[in-house]
Amino acid sequence: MGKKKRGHPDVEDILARPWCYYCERDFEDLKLLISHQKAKHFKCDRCGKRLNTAGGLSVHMNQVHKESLDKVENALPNRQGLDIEIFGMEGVPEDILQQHNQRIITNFYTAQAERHAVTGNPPPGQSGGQGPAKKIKIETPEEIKKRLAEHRARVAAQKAAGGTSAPLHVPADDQSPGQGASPFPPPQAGFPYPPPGAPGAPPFPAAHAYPPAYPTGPSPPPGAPAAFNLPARPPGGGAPAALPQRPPYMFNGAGAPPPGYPAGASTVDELISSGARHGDDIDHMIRMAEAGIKPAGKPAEDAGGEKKGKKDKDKNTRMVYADNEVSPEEKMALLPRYRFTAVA
Amino acid sequence: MAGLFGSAAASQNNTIGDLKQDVELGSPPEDSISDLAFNPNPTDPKDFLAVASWDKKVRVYEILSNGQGQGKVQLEHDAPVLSVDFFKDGSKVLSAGADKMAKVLDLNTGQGVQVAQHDAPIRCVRYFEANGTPMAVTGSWDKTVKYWDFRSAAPAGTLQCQERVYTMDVRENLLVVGTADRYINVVNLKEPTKFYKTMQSPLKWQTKVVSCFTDSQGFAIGSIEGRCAIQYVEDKDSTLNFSFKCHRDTPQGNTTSVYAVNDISFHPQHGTFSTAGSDGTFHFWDKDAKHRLKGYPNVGGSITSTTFNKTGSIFAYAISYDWSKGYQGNGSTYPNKVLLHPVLPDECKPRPNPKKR
Repeated sequence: MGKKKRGHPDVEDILARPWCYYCERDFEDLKLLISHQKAKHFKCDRCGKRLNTAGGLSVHMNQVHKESLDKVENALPNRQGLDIEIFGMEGVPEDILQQHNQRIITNFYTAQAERHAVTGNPPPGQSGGQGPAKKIKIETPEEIKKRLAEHRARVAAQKAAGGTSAPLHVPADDQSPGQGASPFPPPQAGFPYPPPGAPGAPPFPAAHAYPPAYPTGPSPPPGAPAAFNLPARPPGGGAPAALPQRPPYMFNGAGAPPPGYPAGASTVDELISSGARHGDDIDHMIRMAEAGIKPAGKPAEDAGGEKKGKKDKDKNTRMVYADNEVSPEEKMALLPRYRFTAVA
Repeated sequence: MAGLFGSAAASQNNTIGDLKQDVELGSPPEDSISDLAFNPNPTDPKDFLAVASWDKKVRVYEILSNGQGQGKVQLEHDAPVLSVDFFKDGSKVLSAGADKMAKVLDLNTGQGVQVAQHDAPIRCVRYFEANGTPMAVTGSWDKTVKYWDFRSAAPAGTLQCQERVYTMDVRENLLVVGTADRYINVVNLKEPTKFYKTMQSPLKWQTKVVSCFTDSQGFAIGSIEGRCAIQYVEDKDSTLNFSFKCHRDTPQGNTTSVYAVNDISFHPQHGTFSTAGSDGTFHFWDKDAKHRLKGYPNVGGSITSTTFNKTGSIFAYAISYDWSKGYQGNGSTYPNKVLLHPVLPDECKPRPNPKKR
């Protein structure tokens, strides 16, 4: 059997990559590493000048800004020292180099073993089927969401093709508890709940932790859904026929679906919005999920972080005396204490 | 700007000067100090320092060889004094203030005479000589600059400015007037009644101070936003113009406090200059090498005014409240004093080979 390219580089390739002493990041080639070091570790925070080494930066700070450099920026806590002169891969102490290589080798083999576990393939060289047991697939919320979106697209297509009679799958369960901000109560023990992985249904692992009763603000006791709550639903969302009827919600269908939402979701939106008036944030989250929008929290945060970073660069300034129109002396001169009244 | 690690750096590279030798002037004014001026007469063996204050008085001290100051004469105005300048021969002192007038104080007689009148407080007064005739130029918040010959109660000439005059400086035939709204007017004192040049300050914020080079080829501008500009008068030198940041705190988090540049003084011999700020620090700079020669630690309060004596061996600076923080910043414990810093030879000398280092 010839060696297949899997996109997983050999350990030698990884070991050959140049890496940064200060932050342990590795790079395609030495040039990139050096430009990284100049930009991240040897850049003057006063004027932006990029020096070649920490020593160079220290001299620069001393001479140009009359300040002394005490540590290397953006470095790992134990690598901030100025005593070691690093340029690219030059100057990295032997023991640190060994440590790094050891870590790479360990990581490589761990990753390889994991890959083998996932695929169920025996490691190369080992023939026979006695490989480690296949790893159980665990879906992340993103994966689930993706699958859900696919499913919904399918359903929508089905609906478009087969008329409106086909019942809709209510995809409310893509708000998994892993979402953090979710105000959902933890699953209630003893609740009659179909076991996950019902035959024929694709597994929705997130659903097992999802409360069966849809909470409206103050969550009702389990098993006693309020009038507008969604009825308990089997977690296997794959079979639309298994869904309970939802006639009580149909009167809401008169309202136009909010713009931007997939047409297929309109009734669901309506029912949720009418059902969860009290829990606005929940409502919002669900609508977002319905619309296939990723939770707003994280990307927004990321964007915020980026902005902050940029601001850092142009250094927010606060002027101690910020009145551009009037001088401080004029203000002082208006004080009763200083005001001049001409002697008559 | 005493950097975070300033003290450590001081011992290593000598870029941070020390204030240990500085002498405090005895019996200082009772209120904030607005301006300082040294006797410029090179033939006078003595140094006299005139101090203008918001307590409505101008005090003239004789600086003794041990660095101590001795009160000599004082003159009272009817309102806070905002500006003071010496006659070239050192015999008289010009002062002007919020009482809208300028006075001449004769050091020998101790008598004061009113020599100028404006419609609003006079922010600035400077002595100059037109063809050997002593003259005074005053700049006021009434948006005019007026010339006075000490003989007539009427001005010898008037220049209408765009805005309130905030600062002026004279060197030889160069008069620079900085006004509100960032106008900078350059006047050739051979033709005192017309602007030789009018420009907008290269700095984006209110002009706090202008100060002429010792060779009168240009001037420095200080703004309330911790920035200085070096500006040459003639267009041919415009490539030499630049500006730089100063009087800023080391960033706290992602904000930097920025202080006003309150005064700029040029060293009479080396042509280097000092900046002093609301942040309570002063620094010596070399504009040609674009280099900071020396920085000093915080002196404990805003520096409102600075000046060199005629030989450049003494640098006087006034610490007092400059209203930069409004009411909140003021207090009875705020320092109010004049210090005399003995200038060491290497502190203000330009570097011989700036490019080499």
